[in-house]
Amino acid sequence: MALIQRSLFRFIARRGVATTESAMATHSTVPKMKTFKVYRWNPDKPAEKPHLQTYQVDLNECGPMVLDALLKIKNEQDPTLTFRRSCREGICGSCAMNIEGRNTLACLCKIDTNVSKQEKIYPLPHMFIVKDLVPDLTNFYQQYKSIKPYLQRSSFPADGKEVPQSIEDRKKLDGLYECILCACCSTSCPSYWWNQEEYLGPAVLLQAYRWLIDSRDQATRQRKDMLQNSMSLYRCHTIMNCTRTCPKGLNPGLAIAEIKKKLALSA
Amino acid sequence: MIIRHTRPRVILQKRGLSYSVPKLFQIPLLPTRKQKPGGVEGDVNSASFVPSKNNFKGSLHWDLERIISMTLVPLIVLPFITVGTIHTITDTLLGAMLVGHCHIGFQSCIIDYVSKRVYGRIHNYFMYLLTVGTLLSGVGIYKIEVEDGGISTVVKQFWHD
Amino acid sequence: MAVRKFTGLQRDVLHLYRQWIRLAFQKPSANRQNFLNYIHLEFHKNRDLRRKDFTTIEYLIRNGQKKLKTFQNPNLKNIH
Repeated sequence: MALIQRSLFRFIARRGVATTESAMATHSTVPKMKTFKVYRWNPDKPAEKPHLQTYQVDLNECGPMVLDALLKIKNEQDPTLTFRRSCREGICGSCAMNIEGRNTLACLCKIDTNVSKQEKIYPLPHMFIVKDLVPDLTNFYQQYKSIKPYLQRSSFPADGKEVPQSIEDRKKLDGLYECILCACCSTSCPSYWWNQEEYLGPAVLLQAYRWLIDSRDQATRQRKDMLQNSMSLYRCHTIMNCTRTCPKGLNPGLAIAEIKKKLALSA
Repeated sequence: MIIRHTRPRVILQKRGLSYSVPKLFQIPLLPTRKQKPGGVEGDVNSASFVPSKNNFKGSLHWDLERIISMTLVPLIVLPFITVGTIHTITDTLLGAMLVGHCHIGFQSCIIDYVSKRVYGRIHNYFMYLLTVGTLLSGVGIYKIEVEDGGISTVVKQFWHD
Repeated sequence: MAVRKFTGLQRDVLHLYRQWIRLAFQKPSANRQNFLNYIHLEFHKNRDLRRKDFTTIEYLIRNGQKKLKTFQNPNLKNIH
Protein backbone atom coordinates (compact mmCIF):
# COMPACT_ATOMS: atom_id res chain seq x y z
CA MET A 1 0.00 0.00 0.00
CA ALA A 2 2.75 2.40 1.05
CA LEU A 3 4.65 1.59 -2.12
CA ILE A 4 1.69 2.46 -4.34
CA GLN A 5 1.17 5.70 -2.46
CA ARG A 6 4.81 6.69 -2.89
CA SER A 7 4.85 5.96 -6.59
CA LEU A 8 1.61 7.92 -6.99
CA PHE A 9 3.16 10.90 -5.24
CA ARG A 10 6.21 10.66 -7.43
CA PHE A 11 4.02 10.55 -10.55
CA ILE A 12 2.09 13.63 -9.50
CA ALA A 13 5.28 15.44 -8.61
CA ARG A 14 6.78 14.65 -12.02
CA ARG A 15 3.63 15.75 -13.80
CA GLY A 16 3.73 19.03 -11.89
CA VAL A 17 7.29 19.76 -12.92
CA ALA A 18 6.58 18.81 -16.52
CA THR A 19 3.64 21.19 -16.81
CA THR A 20 5.55 24.16 -15.43
CA GLU A 21 8.48 23.41 -17.72
CA SER A 22 6.28 23.28 -20.80
CA ALA A 23 4.53 26.49 -19.75
CA MET A 24 7.87 28.26 -19.42
CA ALA A 25 9.01 26.90 -22.77
CA THR A 26 6.00 28.33 -24.60
CA HIS A 27 6.49 31.72 -22.94
CA SER A 28 10.20 32.11 -23.57
CA THR A 29 9.85 31.42 -27.29
CA VAL A 30 8.83 35.05 -27.84
CA PRO A 31 11.12 37.33 -25.83
CA LYS A 32 9.50 40.63 -24.92
CA MET A 33 12.41 43.00 -24.96
CA LYS A 34 11.58 46.28 -23.28
CA THR A 35 13.92 49.25 -23.56
CA PHE A 36 14.72 51.19 -20.40
CA LYS A 37 16.50 54.52 -20.51
CA VAL A 38 18.07 55.31 -17.17
CA TYR A 39 19.65 58.55 -16.01
CA ARG A 40 23.33 58.03 -15.26
CA TRP A 41 25.80 60.34 -13.60
CA ASN A 42 29.00 59.36 -11.87
CA PRO A 43 30.37 61.71 -9.18
CA ASP A 44 33.84 60.23 -9.60
CA LYS A 45 33.98 61.68 -13.11
CA PRO A 46 32.35 65.06 -12.50
CA ALA A 47 33.46 66.52 -15.83
CA GLU A 48 31.33 63.97 -17.70
CA LYS A 49 27.81 65.23 -18.24
CA PRO A 50 24.81 63.18 -17.12
CA HIS A 51 23.32 60.99 -19.83
CA LEU A 52 20.60 58.43 -20.45
CA GLN A 53 21.85 54.87 -20.73
CA THR A 54 19.79 52.28 -22.62
CA TYR A 55 19.15 48.79 -21.27
CA GLN A 56 17.15 45.92 -22.75
CA VAL A 57 15.19 43.68 -20.41
CA ASP A 58 13.17 40.58 -21.34
CA LEU A 59 9.82 41.10 -19.62
CA ASN A 60 9.16 37.34 -19.60
CA GLU A 61 12.01 36.82 -17.18
CA CYS A 62 11.37 39.88 -15.09
CA GLY A 63 8.97 40.81 -12.30
CA PRO A 64 6.06 43.16 -13.07
CA MET A 65 7.40 46.30 -11.36
CA VAL A 66 9.98 48.84 -12.47
CA LEU A 67 12.09 48.04 -9.41
CA ASP A 68 12.29 44.41 -10.56
CA ALA A 69 13.62 45.58 -13.90
CA LEU A 70 16.16 47.87 -12.23
CA LEU A 71 17.35 45.06 -9.96
CA LYS A 72 17.59 42.75 -12.97
CA ILE A 73 19.68 45.32 -14.83
CA LYS A 74 21.94 45.76 -11.80
CA ASN A 75 22.32 42.00 -11.30
CA GLU A 76 22.87 40.93 -14.87
CA GLN A 77 23.92 43.85 -17.01
CA ASP A 78 25.45 46.75 -15.14
CA PRO A 79 26.43 46.46 -11.46
CA THR A 80 27.44 50.13 -11.39
CA LEU A 81 23.83 51.29 -11.70
CA THR A 82 23.01 52.99 -8.40
CA PHE A 83 19.60 53.47 -6.80
CA ARG A 84 18.04 53.28 -3.35
CA ARG A 85 15.75 50.39 -2.55
CA SER A 86 14.77 48.43 0.48
CA CYS A 87 11.36 46.91 1.12
CA ARG A 88 10.16 46.39 -2.50
CA GLU A 89 6.54 46.74 -1.32
CA GLY A 90 5.96 50.47 -0.97
CA ILE A 91 6.43 50.97 2.74
CA CYS A 92 9.99 52.28 3.04
CA GLY A 93 9.91 55.05 0.43
CA SER A 94 13.50 54.49 -0.65
CA CYS A 95 12.94 53.86 -4.34
CA ALA A 96 11.19 57.15 -5.13
CA MET A 97 12.15 58.26 -8.64
CA ASN A 98 10.73 59.87 -11.75
CA ILE A 99 9.35 57.15 -14.01
CA GLU A 100 7.77 58.16 -17.30
CA GLY A 101 7.52 61.75 -16.10
CA ARG A 102 5.75 60.91 -12.85
CA ASN A 103 7.28 60.82 -9.41
CA THR A 104 6.49 57.46 -7.93
CA LEU A 105 7.92 54.48 -6.10
CA ALA A 106 9.66 52.09 -8.48
CA CYS A 107 8.35 49.16 -6.44
CA LEU A 108 4.72 50.26 -6.86
CA CYS A 109 4.96 51.25 -10.53
CA LYS A 110 4.09 48.56 -13.07
CA ILE A 111 6.20 48.28 -16.19
CA ASP A 112 4.25 49.38 -19.25
CA THR A 113 3.95 46.10 -21.19
CA ASN A 114 3.82 47.96 -24.50
CA VAL A 115 7.26 46.90 -25.74
CA SER A 116 7.36 49.42 -28.58
CA LYS A 117 7.57 52.27 -26.06
CA GLN A 118 10.72 53.10 -24.12
CA GLU A 119 10.56 53.59 -20.38
CA LYS A 120 12.52 56.58 -19.12
CA ILE A 121 13.72 56.66 -15.53
CA TYR A 122 15.11 59.80 -13.90
CA PRO A 123 15.91 60.67 -10.30
CA LEU A 124 13.52 62.92 -8.36
CA PRO A 125 13.45 66.25 -10.20
CA HIS A 126 15.24 69.40 -9.04
CA MET A 127 17.30 67.74 -6.35
CA PHE A 128 21.06 67.57 -6.06
CA ILE A 129 22.16 64.17 -7.26
CA VAL A 130 24.53 61.97 -5.28
CA LYS A 131 24.85 59.34 -8.00
CA ASP A 132 22.67 58.00 -10.82
CA LEU A 133 19.15 57.76 -9.33
CA VAL A 134 20.09 58.77 -5.80
CA PRO A 135 19.07 62.32 -4.84
CA ASP A 136 20.45 64.26 -1.88
CA LEU A 137 17.57 64.45 0.62
CA THR A 138 19.49 66.15 3.44
CA ASN A 139 17.46 69.35 3.14
CA PHE A 140 14.20 67.38 3.09
CA TYR A 141 15.05 65.55 6.30
CA GLN A 142 16.27 68.73 7.98
CA GLN A 143 12.93 70.32 7.20
CA TYR A 144 11.13 67.30 8.61
CA LYS A 145 13.17 67.61 11.79
CA SER A 146 12.36 71.33 12.08
CA ILE A 147 8.61 70.66 12.53
CA LYS A 148 9.35 68.47 15.57
CA PRO A 149 7.57 65.33 14.42
CA TYR A 150 6.96 63.85 17.84
CA LEU A 151 4.38 64.14 20.62
CA GLN A 152 4.96 67.26 22.73
CA ARG A 153 3.22 67.36 26.10
CA SER A 154 3.70 69.37 29.26
CA SER A 155 1.56 67.11 31.45
CA PHE A 156 1.23 63.36 31.50
CA PRO A 157 -1.51 61.13 32.96
CA ALA A 158 -1.25 60.58 36.70
CA ASP A 159 -1.11 56.81 36.37
CA GLY A 160 2.07 57.12 34.31
CA LYS A 161 0.59 55.08 31.52
CA GLU A 162 -0.28 55.91 27.92
CA VAL A 163 -2.14 59.03 26.77
CA PRO A 164 -5.61 57.87 25.68
CA GLN A 165 -7.28 59.04 22.49
CA SER A 166 -10.90 58.68 21.42
CA ILE A 167 -11.82 56.75 18.29
CA GLU A 168 -13.01 59.94 16.58
CA ASP A 169 -9.76 61.74 17.32
CA ARG A 170 -7.79 58.77 16.03
CA LYS A 171 -9.87 58.82 12.83
CA LYS A 172 -8.60 62.34 12.08
CA LEU A 173 -5.11 60.91 11.59
CA ASP A 174 -6.23 58.54 8.84
CA GLY A 175 -4.83 59.63 5.51
CA LEU A 176 -1.98 61.39 7.29
CA TYR A 177 -0.11 58.77 9.27
CA GLU A 178 0.33 56.57 6.17
CA CYS A 179 2.84 59.01 4.67
CA ILE A 180 6.20 57.30 4.25
CA LEU A 181 8.18 60.48 3.45
CA CYS A 182 9.34 59.30 0.04
CA ALA A 183 9.57 62.95 -1.12
CA CYS A 184 7.62 62.23 -4.32
CA CYS A 185 5.14 65.03 -3.60
CA SER A 186 7.64 67.63 -2.45
CA THR A 187 9.83 67.17 -5.51
CA SER A 188 6.84 67.37 -7.85
CA CYS A 189 5.84 70.79 -6.48
CA PRO A 190 6.97 73.78 -8.58
CA SER A 191 6.95 76.01 -5.49
CA TYR A 192 9.33 73.55 -3.85
CA TRP A 193 11.52 73.59 -6.97
CA TRP A 194 11.96 77.36 -6.77
CA ASN A 195 12.26 77.75 -2.99
CA GLN A 196 13.12 74.42 -1.43
CA GLU A 197 15.54 76.03 1.02
CA GLU A 198 12.70 77.92 2.70
CA TYR A 199 9.33 76.42 1.69
CA LEU A 200 8.68 73.24 3.66
CA GLY A 201 6.98 71.35 0.85
CA PRO A 202 3.85 69.17 0.84
CA ALA A 203 5.30 66.08 2.55
CA VAL A 204 6.59 67.99 5.57
CA LEU A 205 3.44 70.15 5.75
CA LEU A 206 1.30 67.02 5.72
CA GLN A 207 3.29 65.83 8.73
CA ALA A 208 2.98 69.28 10.34
CA TYR A 209 -0.81 68.93 10.01
CA ARG A 210 -0.69 65.40 11.36
CA TRP A 211 0.86 66.75 14.61
CA LEU A 212 -1.35 69.84 14.65
CA ILE A 213 -4.58 67.87 14.84
CA ASP A 214 -3.32 65.09 17.08
CA SER A 215 -5.56 65.36 20.17
CA ARG A 216 -2.70 64.19 22.41
CA ASP A 217 -0.30 66.93 21.33
CA GLN A 218 -0.15 70.07 23.50
CA ALA A 219 2.25 72.22 21.46
CA THR A 220 -0.35 73.33 18.90
CA ARG A 221 0.38 77.02 19.60
CA GLN A 222 4.12 76.66 18.88
CA ARG A 223 3.45 74.51 15.84
CA LYS A 224 1.13 77.16 14.41
CA ASP A 225 3.54 80.02 15.17
CA MET A 226 6.27 78.14 13.34
CA LEU A 227 4.31 78.43 10.10
CA GLN A 228 3.39 82.11 10.52
CA ASN A 229 5.69 83.58 7.88
CA SER A 230 5.61 84.09 4.16
CA MET A 231 7.86 81.17 3.21
CA SER A 232 7.27 78.01 5.29
CA LEU A 233 3.60 77.44 4.46
CA TYR A 234 2.28 80.21 2.24
CA ARG A 235 4.43 79.39 -0.78
CA CYS A 236 1.80 76.73 -1.49
CA HIS A 237 -0.30 77.99 -4.41
CA THR A 238 -2.57 74.92 -4.50
CA ILE A 239 -0.98 73.56 -7.67
CA MET A 240 -1.98 70.07 -6.45
CA ASN A 241 0.84 68.21 -8.16
CA CYS A 242 1.47 66.63 -4.76
CA THR A 243 -1.93 64.95 -4.60
CA ARG A 244 -1.73 63.79 -8.18
CA THR A 245 1.66 62.15 -7.77
CA CYS A 246 1.42 60.60 -4.29
CA PRO A 247 2.16 56.87 -4.73
CA LYS A 248 0.27 56.09 -1.51
CA GLY A 249 -2.89 57.90 -2.65
CA LEU A 250 -2.77 60.55 0.09
CA ASN A 251 -3.84 64.17 -0.23
CA PRO A 252 -1.13 66.60 0.93
CA GLY A 253 -2.90 69.46 -0.88
CA LEU A 254 -5.95 69.04 1.35
CA ALA A 255 -3.80 68.87 4.47
CA ILE A 256 -2.10 72.16 3.56
CA ALA A 257 -5.49 73.76 2.91
CA GLU A 258 -6.65 72.58 6.35
CA ILE A 259 -3.56 74.13 7.98
CA LYS A 260 -4.29 77.41 6.20
CA LYS A 261 -7.88 77.28 7.43
CA LYS A 262 -6.75 76.59 11.01
CA LEU A 263 -4.27 79.45 10.93
CA ALA A 264 -6.73 81.85 9.29
CA LEU A 265 -9.40 81.36 11.96
CA SER A 266 -7.11 81.27 14.98
CA ALA A 267 -4.57 84.03 14.35
CA MET B 1 58.18 73.32 -12.05
CA ILE B 2 54.93 71.61 -12.82
CA ILE B 3 54.22 70.98 -16.45
CA ARG B 4 50.51 71.10 -17.05
CA HIS B 5 49.45 68.13 -19.06
CA THR B 6 46.75 69.03 -21.46
CA ARG B 7 43.99 67.05 -23.06
CA PRO B 8 41.80 67.84 -26.05
CA ARG B 9 39.13 70.32 -25.13
CA VAL B 10 35.61 69.23 -25.83
CA ILE B 11 33.82 72.21 -27.28
CA LEU B 12 30.36 70.81 -27.77
CA GLN B 13 28.80 69.75 -24.53
CA LYS B 14 25.53 68.19 -23.61
CA ARG B 15 24.10 70.29 -20.82
CA GLY B 16 20.51 69.20 -21.18
CA LEU B 17 20.43 66.74 -18.32
CA SER B 18 22.39 68.77 -15.80
CA TYR B 19 20.41 69.20 -12.63
CA SER B 20 22.02 72.37 -11.38
CA VAL B 21 18.98 73.90 -9.73
CA PRO B 22 20.04 77.52 -9.19
CA LYS B 23 21.56 77.95 -12.65
CA LEU B 24 18.39 76.88 -14.48
CA PHE B 25 16.09 79.39 -12.81
CA GLN B 26 18.34 82.38 -12.54
CA ILE B 27 17.22 85.61 -14.11
CA PRO B 28 19.93 86.60 -16.60
CA LEU B 29 22.14 89.64 -15.83
CA LEU B 30 21.07 89.87 -12.18
CA PRO B 31 23.81 89.25 -9.59
CA THR B 32 23.00 86.55 -7.06
CA ARG B 33 24.03 85.91 -3.50
CA LYS B 34 26.20 82.99 -2.57
CA GLN B 35 24.12 79.92 -1.75
CA LYS B 36 24.71 77.35 0.92
CA PRO B 37 26.51 74.27 -0.43
CA GLY B 38 23.79 71.84 -1.52
CA GLY B 39 21.16 74.19 -0.10
CA VAL B 40 21.95 72.80 3.33
CA GLU B 41 22.98 74.58 6.52
CA GLY B 42 24.63 72.70 9.36
CA ASP B 43 25.25 68.98 9.44
CA VAL B 44 23.01 66.10 8.43
CA ASN B 45 21.31 65.84 11.80
CA SER B 46 20.50 69.48 12.41
CA ALA B 47 17.02 70.87 11.82
CA SER B 48 16.43 73.51 9.17
CA PHE B 49 16.09 77.17 10.11
CA VAL B 50 12.64 78.37 11.27
CA PRO B 51 11.86 82.03 10.40
CA SER B 52 10.50 84.29 13.13
CA LYS B 53 6.75 84.63 13.59
CA ASN B 54 5.04 87.40 11.64
CA ASN B 55 1.26 87.22 11.32
CA PHE B 56 1.20 90.07 8.80
CA LYS B 57 3.31 88.01 6.43
CA GLY B 58 1.53 84.80 7.37
CA SER B 59 -2.11 84.15 8.07
CA LEU B 60 -3.34 87.78 8.05
CA HIS B 61 -1.83 88.31 4.62
CA TRP B 62 -3.52 85.14 3.43
CA ASP B 63 -6.85 86.24 4.94
CA LEU B 64 -6.62 89.60 3.17
CA GLU B 65 -5.81 87.85 -0.10
CA ARG B 66 -8.88 85.57 0.21
CA ILE B 67 -11.20 88.40 1.28
CA ILE B 68 -10.19 90.53 -1.71
CA SER B 69 -10.59 87.58 -4.08
CA MET B 70 -14.03 86.76 -2.70
CA THR B 71 -15.33 90.32 -2.77
CA LEU B 72 -14.19 90.62 -6.37
CA VAL B 73 -16.65 87.93 -7.46
CA PRO B 74 -19.84 89.99 -6.97
CA LEU B 75 -18.02 93.26 -7.72
CA ILE B 76 -17.22 92.12 -11.26
CA VAL B 77 -20.96 92.08 -12.02
CA LEU B 78 -22.51 94.75 -9.77
CA PRO B 79 -21.22 97.97 -11.42
CA PHE B 80 -22.63 96.86 -14.76
CA ILE B 81 -26.18 96.30 -13.51
CA THR B 82 -26.52 99.12 -10.97
CA VAL B 83 -27.17 102.84 -11.49
CA GLY B 84 -26.77 106.06 -9.48
CA THR B 85 -25.02 106.18 -6.12
CA ILE B 86 -24.78 102.40 -5.73
CA HIS B 87 -23.09 102.24 -9.10
CA THR B 88 -20.47 104.79 -8.03
CA ILE B 89 -19.80 102.94 -4.78
CA THR B 90 -19.51 99.50 -6.36
CA ASP B 91 -17.38 100.80 -9.21
CA THR B 92 -14.97 102.52 -6.82
CA LEU B 93 -14.81 99.37 -4.72
CA LEU B 94 -14.10 97.31 -7.83
CA GLY B 95 -11.25 99.65 -8.74
CA ALA B 96 -9.74 99.49 -5.26
CA MET B 97 -10.07 95.71 -4.98
CA LEU B 98 -8.58 95.17 -8.45
CA VAL B 99 -5.51 97.20 -7.51
CA GLY B 100 -5.17 95.26 -4.26
CA HIS B 101 -5.65 91.93 -5.99
CA CYS B 102 -3.00 92.67 -8.63
CA HIS B 103 -0.60 93.98 -5.97
CA ILE B 104 -0.85 90.79 -3.91
CA GLY B 105 -0.55 88.61 -7.01
CA PHE B 106 2.61 90.32 -8.22
CA GLN B 107 4.00 90.33 -4.70
CA SER B 108 3.60 86.57 -4.64
CA CYS B 109 5.43 86.27 -7.98
CA ILE B 110 8.32 88.39 -6.67
CA ILE B 111 8.63 86.33 -3.47
CA ASP B 112 8.65 83.16 -5.56
CA TYR B 113 10.96 84.08 -8.40
CA VAL B 114 13.08 86.99 -7.13
CA SER B 115 13.52 85.63 -3.65
CA LYS B 116 15.47 87.44 -0.99
CA ARG B 117 17.57 84.34 -0.41
CA VAL B 118 18.97 84.42 -3.94
CA TYR B 119 18.87 88.08 -4.97
CA GLY B 120 19.19 89.94 -1.68
CA ARG B 121 18.75 93.68 -2.15
CA ILE B 122 17.34 93.27 -5.66
CA HIS B 123 14.31 91.59 -4.09
CA ASN B 124 13.66 94.81 -2.17
CA TYR B 125 14.08 96.92 -5.33
CA PHE B 126 11.48 94.78 -7.07
CA MET B 127 9.12 95.33 -4.13
CA TYR B 128 9.64 99.11 -4.30
CA LEU B 129 9.00 98.98 -8.04
CA LEU B 130 5.78 97.10 -7.39
CA THR B 131 4.67 99.66 -4.79
CA VAL B 132 5.35 102.51 -7.21
CA GLY B 133 3.40 100.66 -9.90
CA THR B 134 0.48 100.07 -7.54
CA LEU B 135 0.41 103.74 -6.51
CA LEU B 136 0.51 104.85 -10.15
CA SER B 137 -2.31 102.52 -11.13
CA GLY B 138 -4.21 103.75 -8.06
CA VAL B 139 -3.92 107.31 -9.38
CA GLY B 140 -4.98 106.06 -12.81
CA ILE B 141 -8.03 104.31 -11.39
CA TYR B 142 -8.91 107.46 -9.42
CA LYS B 143 -8.77 109.52 -12.62
CA ILE B 144 -10.96 107.02 -14.43
CA GLU B 145 -13.48 107.13 -11.58
CA VAL B 146 -13.58 110.94 -11.48
CA GLU B 147 -13.25 111.90 -15.12
CA ASP B 148 -14.53 108.95 -17.19
CA GLY B 149 -17.38 107.79 -14.95
CA GLY B 150 -15.86 104.60 -13.63
CA ILE B 151 -14.26 101.38 -14.83
CA SER B 152 -17.52 99.82 -15.97
CA THR B 153 -18.26 102.82 -18.21
CA VAL B 154 -14.81 102.58 -19.81
CA VAL B 155 -15.25 98.84 -20.38
CA LYS B 156 -18.71 99.43 -21.89
CA GLN B 157 -17.21 101.97 -24.31
CA PHE B 158 -15.17 99.17 -25.93
CA TRP B 159 -18.37 97.89 -27.47
CA HIS B 160 -19.85 101.25 -28.37
CA ASP B 161 -16.93 102.90 -30.16
CA MET C 1 51.86 95.14 -11.81
CA ALA C 2 48.12 94.88 -12.35
CA VAL C 3 46.14 93.07 -9.69
CA ARG C 4 44.69 89.92 -11.11
CA LYS C 5 40.89 89.91 -11.06
CA PHE C 6 39.22 86.60 -10.37
CA THR C 7 35.70 85.63 -11.24
CA GLY C 8 33.29 84.69 -8.47
CA LEU C 9 33.73 80.99 -9.06
CA GLN C 10 37.52 81.23 -9.10
CA ARG C 11 37.40 83.10 -5.82
CA ASP C 12 35.19 80.36 -4.39
CA VAL C 13 37.72 77.72 -5.40
CA LEU C 14 40.59 79.70 -3.87
CA HIS C 15 38.56 80.23 -0.72
CA LEU C 16 37.89 76.51 -0.47
CA TYR C 17 41.59 75.77 -0.98
CA ARG C 18 42.56 78.20 1.78
CA GLN C 19 40.04 76.67 4.15
CA TRP C 20 41.54 73.25 3.50
CA ILE C 21 45.10 74.48 4.06
CA ARG C 22 44.02 76.14 7.28
CA LEU C 23 42.46 72.85 8.33
CA ALA C 24 45.74 71.06 7.69
CA PHE C 25 47.48 73.46 10.09
CA GLN C 26 44.97 72.70 12.83
CA LYS C 27 45.91 69.03 12.81
CA PRO C 28 48.90 67.58 14.72
CA SER C 29 52.09 68.79 13.08
CA ALA C 30 53.42 65.26 12.61
CA ASN C 31 50.53 64.41 10.30
CA ARG C 32 50.31 67.78 8.56
CA GLN C 33 52.14 66.62 5.46
CA ASN C 34 49.61 63.81 4.99
CA PHE C 35 46.81 66.33 4.92
CA LEU C 36 48.67 68.65 2.57
CA ASN C 37 49.41 65.78 0.20
CA TYR C 38 45.78 64.79 0.21
CA ILE C 39 44.61 68.36 -0.45
CA HIS C 40 47.07 68.83 -3.30
CA LEU C 41 46.11 65.52 -4.84
CA GLU C 42 42.38 66.31 -4.70
CA PHE C 43 42.79 69.75 -6.23
CA HIS C 44 45.24 68.43 -8.80
CA LYS C 45 42.77 65.80 -10.02
CA ASN C 46 40.50 68.44 -11.54
CA ARG C 47 42.95 71.10 -12.58
CA ASP C 48 42.31 70.44 -16.28
CA LEU C 49 38.63 71.26 -15.96
CA ARG C 50 37.31 73.72 -18.50
CA ARG C 51 36.99 77.17 -17.00
CA LYS C 52 33.41 77.51 -18.24
CA ASP C 53 32.26 74.13 -16.94
CA PHE C 54 30.25 75.84 -14.22
CA THR C 55 28.03 72.94 -13.18
CA THR C 56 30.99 70.65 -12.56
CA ILE C 57 33.02 73.27 -10.72
CA GLU C 58 30.02 74.17 -8.59
CA TYR C 59 29.48 70.50 -7.80
CA LEU C 60 33.12 70.07 -6.81
CA ILE C 61 32.98 73.13 -4.57
CA ARG C 62 29.80 71.87 -2.89
CA ASN C 63 31.36 68.46 -2.38
CA GLY C 64 34.61 69.99 -1.12
CA GLN C 65 32.69 72.04 1.44
CA LYS C 66 30.86 68.95 2.63
CA LYS C 67 34.11 66.98 2.97
CA LEU C 68 35.69 69.91 4.76
CA LYS C 69 32.92 69.77 7.37
CA THR C 70 33.62 66.08 7.95
CA PHE C 71 37.35 66.66 8.20
CA GLN C 72 36.89 69.49 10.70
CA ASN C 73 35.97 66.93 13.34
CA PRO C 74 38.74 67.33 16.01
CA ASN C 75 38.79 63.57 16.52
CA LEU C 76 40.10 63.19 12.99
CA LYS C 77 43.84 63.47 13.50
CA ASN C 78 45.47 61.75 10.56
CA ILE C 79 44.83 60.42 7.07
CA HIS C 80 46.80 57.98 4.99
